[in-house]
Amino acid sequence: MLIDQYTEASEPLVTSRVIASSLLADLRSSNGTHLEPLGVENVLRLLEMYRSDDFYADEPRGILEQDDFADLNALREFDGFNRLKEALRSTHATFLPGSDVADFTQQVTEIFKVLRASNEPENLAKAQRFLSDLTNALSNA
Amino acid sequence: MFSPKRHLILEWENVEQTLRETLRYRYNKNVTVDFYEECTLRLDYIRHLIDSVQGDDEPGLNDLMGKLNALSVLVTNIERSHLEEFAWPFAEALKRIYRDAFGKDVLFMFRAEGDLCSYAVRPESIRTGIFKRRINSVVFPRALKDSVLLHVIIGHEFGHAALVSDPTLNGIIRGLIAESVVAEPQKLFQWCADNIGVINRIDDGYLREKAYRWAVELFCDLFALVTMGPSFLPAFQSLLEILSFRPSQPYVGTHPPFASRAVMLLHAARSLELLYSERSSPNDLMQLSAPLDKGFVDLATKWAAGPFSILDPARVAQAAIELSQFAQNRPLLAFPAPDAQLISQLMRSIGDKVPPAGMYPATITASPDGAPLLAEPRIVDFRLILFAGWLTSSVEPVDKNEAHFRQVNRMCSHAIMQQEGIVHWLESEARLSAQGAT
Repeated sequence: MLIDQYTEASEPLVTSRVIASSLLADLRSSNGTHLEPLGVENVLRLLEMYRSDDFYADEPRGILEQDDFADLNALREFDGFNRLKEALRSTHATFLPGSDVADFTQQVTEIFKVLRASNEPENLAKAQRFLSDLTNALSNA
Repeated sequence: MFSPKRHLILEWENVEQTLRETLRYRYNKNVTVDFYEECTLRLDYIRHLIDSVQGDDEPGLNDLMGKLNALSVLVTNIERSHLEEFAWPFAEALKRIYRDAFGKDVLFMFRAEGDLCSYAVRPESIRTGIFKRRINSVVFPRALKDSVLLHVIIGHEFGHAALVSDPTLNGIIRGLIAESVVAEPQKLFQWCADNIGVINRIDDGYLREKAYRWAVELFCDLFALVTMGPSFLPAFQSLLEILSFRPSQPYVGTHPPFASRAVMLLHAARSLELLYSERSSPNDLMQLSAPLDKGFVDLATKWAAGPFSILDPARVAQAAIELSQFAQNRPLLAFPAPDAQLISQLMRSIGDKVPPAGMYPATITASPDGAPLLAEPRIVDFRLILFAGWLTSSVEPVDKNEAHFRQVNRMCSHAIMQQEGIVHWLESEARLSAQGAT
């Protein structure tokens, strides 16, 4: 093997940042007329994780697979999900201070659902501000 | 020399070429389009992200390389998935019961690996990622290709997929392990040191992660029992007992000891009344299932009163009942209650060396006004075929007659194939009928 085992989902924080910043760039360059559907889908997935406090990591092994000691690096995944949660909490505090989790996720979800159907300027500005806050929080987490 | 970003683009083009060369025609024709479209969508999205990422964003470039790598592995695995390497009728039957439970947008990809221990389901996360539809990879051991009686063990792996699909199931896990060593990582290390020879503690993070994995594995055993039925017990015993004889490990492992799992399953099977020979009210399955039940009960009882009984039996019973209710609320997921007459009929077929398949015969019952009523014939659930197979094999102890076990297994394997043929035919008829109606 050339390098350590290479796993896809080892850095949820980086994945989320790349996706959020890409979507923000799309919105800015197209003025809301072009959206990658999977980008929006992923923002909604992140909001659902935050709403339901679902940040556990589980990469199951086969029932019969022998234990080995080579996967201590997988522990980083747990750390990554904790940092992702912190980044979302920070975004929440910046974007809609004083709101509770349910209210925050409901409002932001609505912004992106509207964005799928129209590029109405006020809603577009809110989406850009949210993505900007989120990207900053993910970069600094 | 390429810059990292240019290398990423080059690799993207290589994966694109692989996708175009392979998936169009190398997999089961009914599902090729679904896989091809999903993989194409992922590939296009990765390219969009590559184009967006800055050339000096090292973590971002590395992350996208990981995504591309995973897609490349997926495409290659699909390409190498050959129907002749695993029991595809069994796989189709599995897909039907689990797809209904976890959403029709999930794709299942089946393949074989060489390891005798390679049973696995690798579910994709429902969290952020590059996918639209999730693809769950299901792996069977190549050498055990047609060993459908042992394949019941795969129910455990679908427990992992269920947890990813429905995180509310974590509530059952919490109840299952409450007030046990699994719920307290600090005590878990001491328990492992005292009972299974672990000597290295590592740190709190390591122990927390392993405790969580133990809890999940115990839950998955429970899930398999609820969904695959009592056949899971002899499959579990047959496959895992020999592996439990290995020397002690220096570190806390990912799975709880075999003995602890067996004890939990014993409590759960009793609470769900799946040990038919132990039921208090007389029933026709009592005698049929006695030899099979005895084999597992004798094994697990050895540990039930000792340190390997790590969970509170009352909590196990409660978790089993909650999980059973969860399964009952989803079409096809729960193990169907066996009818003694049907099981006897299936066992007779196996004894006559006839695959125990076909439509369950129409039965005549009485309507409320006393008039005879012909009940609709129905397909025999493949889990009942497997249960009948295990009951038949238990008449002669497996370890004394491997040929008998192979013969029974062969009948069951053929029966499931024939059943899938009937299901396929019925579905085709229904489609044609629907087309005719429009």
